[in-house]
Amino acid sequence: MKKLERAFGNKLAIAIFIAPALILFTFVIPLPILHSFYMSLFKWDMLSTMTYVGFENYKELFSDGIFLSSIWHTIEITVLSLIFQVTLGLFLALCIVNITKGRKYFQNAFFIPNILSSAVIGILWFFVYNYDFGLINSILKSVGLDSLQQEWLSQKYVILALSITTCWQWVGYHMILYIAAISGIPQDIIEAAIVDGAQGLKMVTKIIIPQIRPVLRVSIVLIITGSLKYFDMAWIMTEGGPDFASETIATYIYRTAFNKLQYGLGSAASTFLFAVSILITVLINKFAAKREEMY
Amino acid sequence: MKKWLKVVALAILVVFSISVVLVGQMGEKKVQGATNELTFWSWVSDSDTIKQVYEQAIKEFNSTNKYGVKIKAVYTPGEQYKTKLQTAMAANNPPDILNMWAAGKMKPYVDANRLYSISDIMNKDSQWKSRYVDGVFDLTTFNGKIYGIPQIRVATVIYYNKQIFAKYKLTPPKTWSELVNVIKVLTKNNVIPFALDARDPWILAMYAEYIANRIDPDAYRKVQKDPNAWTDKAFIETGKKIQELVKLGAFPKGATSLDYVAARNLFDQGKAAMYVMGIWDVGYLSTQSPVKKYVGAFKWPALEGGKGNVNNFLAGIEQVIAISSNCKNKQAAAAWLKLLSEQRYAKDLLAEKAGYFPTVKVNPDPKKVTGLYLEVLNLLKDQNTKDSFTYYDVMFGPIIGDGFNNTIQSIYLGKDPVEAFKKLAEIAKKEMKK
Repeated sequence: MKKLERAFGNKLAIAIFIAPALILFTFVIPLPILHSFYMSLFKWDMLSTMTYVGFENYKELFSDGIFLSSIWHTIEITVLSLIFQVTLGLFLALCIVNITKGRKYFQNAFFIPNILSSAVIGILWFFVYNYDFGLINSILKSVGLDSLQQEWLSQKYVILALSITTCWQWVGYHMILYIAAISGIPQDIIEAAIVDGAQGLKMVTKIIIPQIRPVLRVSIVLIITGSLKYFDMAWIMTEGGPDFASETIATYIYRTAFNKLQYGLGSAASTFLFAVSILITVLINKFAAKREEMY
Repeated sequence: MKKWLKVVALAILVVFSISVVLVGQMGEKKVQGATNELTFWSWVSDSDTIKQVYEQAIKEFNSTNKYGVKIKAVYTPGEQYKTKLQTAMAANNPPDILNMWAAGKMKPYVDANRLYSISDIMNKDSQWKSRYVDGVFDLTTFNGKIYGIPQIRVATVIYYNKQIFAKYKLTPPKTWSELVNVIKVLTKNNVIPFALDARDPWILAMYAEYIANRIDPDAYRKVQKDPNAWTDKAFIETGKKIQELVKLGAFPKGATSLDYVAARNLFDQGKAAMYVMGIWDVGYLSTQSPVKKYVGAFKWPALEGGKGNVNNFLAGIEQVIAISSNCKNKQAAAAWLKLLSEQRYAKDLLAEKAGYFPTVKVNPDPKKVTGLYLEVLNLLKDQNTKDSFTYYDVMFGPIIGDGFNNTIQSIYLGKDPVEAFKKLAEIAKKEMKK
């Protein structure tokens, strides 16, 4: 035991132990990010020689209407995802925590979409939204609500449709997080609250939510960062269309870099996305941490 | 604490210096196989009959060629091929032989000297070049030099369900007003006129490219030189015609949420009477489609008062194979390409077995091909090559060409054609200035 302690006291030994992970980490994460930023200062189609253009790509980026609208779509998806997934996840968690029989079944049922690949879910929901034979319109038709049938993947509804699909995919995951957090609340706090007359909604808003705040924060950060890089569903179901109505920052990056061969512009967009993600994560952590201290 | 920081700083420094050395070396060293092995990259998938053609030709070549060379094929279907090829090109580590796109999509590779011109080898071998149909090399020729060999000819026609047409006493329309009449009769009888996948902008663009040609074939030539020509009357008119079709109910409801197969299903199920698509679907429509017995094809109708002729086809080439400028044995690679132009590959496999239209002159046995194949072959015989045109996204490359496709999609969804084309002209202006 002493020997081990001595080894961990030795800074060189620590450095040797850390080095492999550090090297790997440097290659896999920070270097590509730096490289991407470096690329964003060039005009390059991946074939001809690279020309240095300074911040020209960024200027072009922010004068491109499609990019600006892609930022807006990303924000819309983020907000909708937050609303759907947090409220529904919390609601399901509260329901499931209180049932004793069949709890496992419900837990698994809601969690299953999470283990399916996004490609499968994308194709599945592409059919669900189909005008002709899609599940939604068929149900509306069978109950006589023909007038409510819509082109779900049209410009008007596509963002909503995508957010619902994503909610279906991820809600189970957040629900599990919340269940774990709620189950972890000390029983005496709950009992004391009951004695004090807290019930129903009051119990949820005054006791449960404050108690699981750290988990809520993690879940919100996950949803926001996930939405910021929203790509898979949008690409599989609509390819950013129709007429760029569901273009997100991530599909924009893919389209410019790999379809239009504007590699520098694509890199500029991804650098922007990276900066925003970092900024938002830091902000949430700071803000939420402060609030947590208050309790 | 300070000492601790020093250690970390040192470690980071070591890592970075190692990485700089490694990255530097990676750039220098090219990963290469054995010198007598040529790699061939292709995007065909297992279900493509063309894969059989390649496989069989590789097998034959590997056992008989005099160069002592073996070809090794690597198949990467779909979108991944594009990403993979571009990454390899960026690292200057391209395959020896590769599948390529034509015209505007090929040009960047030619400009960057990544492809080898086979003109010299072909010119020494006049018998080889004479095997091909006239004009098939137009879209792979730059500055008078041929950079790739296309395997199949493509063109877009209107397929129609003969049974539905007979039921409502319709005949294939020859003019726009006849087409409008056909659409009206069909919608009145709850038949979808055109099976359209509006999710993929290039499919809708085919309608627009045809209409623009029927209005004025010169419009296509003008925009190749002058980006302002995108706002010409011919294109604005085209936009209006697309909106006219939408208003007439020519397309299925919810077309933006249909993909290629879902749209074709409407035609297969007899819910839609017409289907605008490339002749690459002849094989499917005449052998696998549930309505295969009733499928016919006709030319895009003329427009009253328009300058374009019905014999101008939206046509092109596909499955181009090019030799990269890094190829280790260009003579051998060219010999394999020549082998592919033999009748046993072009006629027996491509035409008769798979129902494609090869770039090599062939006379398929009428008993071995389907009726639809002969019908389409017949239509193509009238082709007026002078005013024929090719897919805009192929011709104008990824920025202007795809820009056109998206412009048409936005017009389909209701955007004002004048506005939409003004925006496209701006994109084109910026791109052509470079």
